[in-house]
Amino acid sequence: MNLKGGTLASSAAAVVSALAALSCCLPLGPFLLAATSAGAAGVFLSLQPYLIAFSVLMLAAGFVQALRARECGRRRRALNVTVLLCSTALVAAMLFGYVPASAPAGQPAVAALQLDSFRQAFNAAADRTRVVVMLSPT
Amino acid sequence: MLRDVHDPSVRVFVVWEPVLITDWHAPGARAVGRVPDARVAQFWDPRRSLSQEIRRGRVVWDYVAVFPAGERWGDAFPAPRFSGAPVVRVIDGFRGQLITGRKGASSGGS
Repeated sequence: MNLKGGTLASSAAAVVSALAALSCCLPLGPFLLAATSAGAAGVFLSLQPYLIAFSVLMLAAGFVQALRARECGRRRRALNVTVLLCSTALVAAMLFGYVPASAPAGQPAVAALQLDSFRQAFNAAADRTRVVVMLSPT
Repeated sequence: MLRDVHDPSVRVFVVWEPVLITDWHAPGARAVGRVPDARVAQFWDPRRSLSQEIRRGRVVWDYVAVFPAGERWGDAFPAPRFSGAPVVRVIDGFRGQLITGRKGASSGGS
């Protein structure tokens, strides 16, 4: 029983140390969190600012972790760079997607709709005919 | 959409909101550029708050509404003089409203 327990414990320790060594060289945790958070930002739009901020934070943590892992081999460094580039691209896509495009010439900047300010703008133009159009971006 | 409407005093509010599964981002240059008219102000409404204000529990989109001068938004979203959806089906009625200002029945929104 003791022998069995000892074997299990040493196996677990080996797995943990392997994971620790891997995570030292490969910022897997921050990458996964950054990518998951960026992906979730595309679904949970009301939480988008927070999720994007979190994914940027995790990305920065991943970069720091990757820079500190100096003892990694060349192959693992290449993997680090690939992983970080992928996560950076995903987060950058979310960041660019979060900011609306510039409005055409002559129009005010595209604004995030706040109901109160929209109501004020609507009523401010009460002396004229107004049109409200609601569309999906795609 | 506004090409035939020459009244310079018309104010147009275009509200972009996520409806389809591909709407995970704010409107891009292509979408925003579809309405180049200077009488337009464009908004991005990721929480669909205007849709909820107009019709609770249902998503209002691909929708157009015309409000006459003098109509104000008080406690509730005002009743439009003309409204309809999808836009492609009501575009003639919409233009008619703005060009001639004629009064007509609203067609059902989505």
